[in-house]
Amino acid sequence: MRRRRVLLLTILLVGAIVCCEGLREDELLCEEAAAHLQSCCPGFDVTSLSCSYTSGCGSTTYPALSIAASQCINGESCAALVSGNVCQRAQQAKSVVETEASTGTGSTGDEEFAEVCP
Amino acid sequence: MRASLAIAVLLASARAAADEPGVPAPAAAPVARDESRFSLKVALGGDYRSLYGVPIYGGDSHVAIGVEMALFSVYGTAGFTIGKTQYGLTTTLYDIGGSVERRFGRFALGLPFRSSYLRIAGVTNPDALDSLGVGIAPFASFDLIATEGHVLFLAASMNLDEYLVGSAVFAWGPTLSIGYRESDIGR
Repeated sequence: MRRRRVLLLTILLVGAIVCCEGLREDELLCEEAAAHLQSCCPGFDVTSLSCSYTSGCGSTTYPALSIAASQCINGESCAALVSGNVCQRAQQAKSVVETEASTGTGSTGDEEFAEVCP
Repeated sequence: MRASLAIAVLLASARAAADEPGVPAPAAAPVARDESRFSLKVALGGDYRSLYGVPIYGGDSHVAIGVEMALFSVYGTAGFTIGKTQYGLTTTLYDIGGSVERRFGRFALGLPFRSSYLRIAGVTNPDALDSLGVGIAPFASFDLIATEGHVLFLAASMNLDEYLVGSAVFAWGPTLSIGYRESDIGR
């Protein structure tokens, strides 16, 4: 019984490491905001917006839309997004890259996100 | 007088033999067969989940195979749920696990426990967001129509899952389903 439990846990752990990217809040909210922008903003190129989080080799890349910006976009109507120029600003938003050096100086990713919404 | 005494002694000895622990009672076999039987359940339903506050609406299907006893049932379960987030991201959820149920006439309360895999397809990135999780889904069900061995039931469950890869995140939400249960398969 104990051996079976250990085997099951091992399979789960190995599976978790091999199979999955993880469910980060900033990535999910950014993807949801991107889908909302795509349906609301005429000509919005969703492929130029990056919602990926990557970490390694001394740097960390955050999604182009912060959690706060994504929540704001997800809470707005299509009319408000268009009239408030949120579509344009979101289209120009770039991923925030945080290097070990910048972390060492105390800067954080959130401080570098562009103001997108409202 | 002697004959009636002999009959009384025979009856008493027969009753004593029936009560004796080591001697199997003739009526025990059919009762045991009725108390434990194979059971199959299938259910389809509507599903809502909240993940980081993002609502997910989906369709849910589950199958369960197990054993019904007098009051309790034990099942192995597998399920598939497909859905959409509020703004249209496609989600798929697979789960596999087990369930223990307690019957109260036409009502039942159950506690499924399962491991699950949740995948959310993004629009900016071809690599989906996904994770493995563990959870429970306590439910209550009510038998709408029951004929011998065939039951149509309604069930309401609350899904509580913790996804563990990368950032640990808790997802929750109810499922309402209608299902069919068949007992004593193959008899």
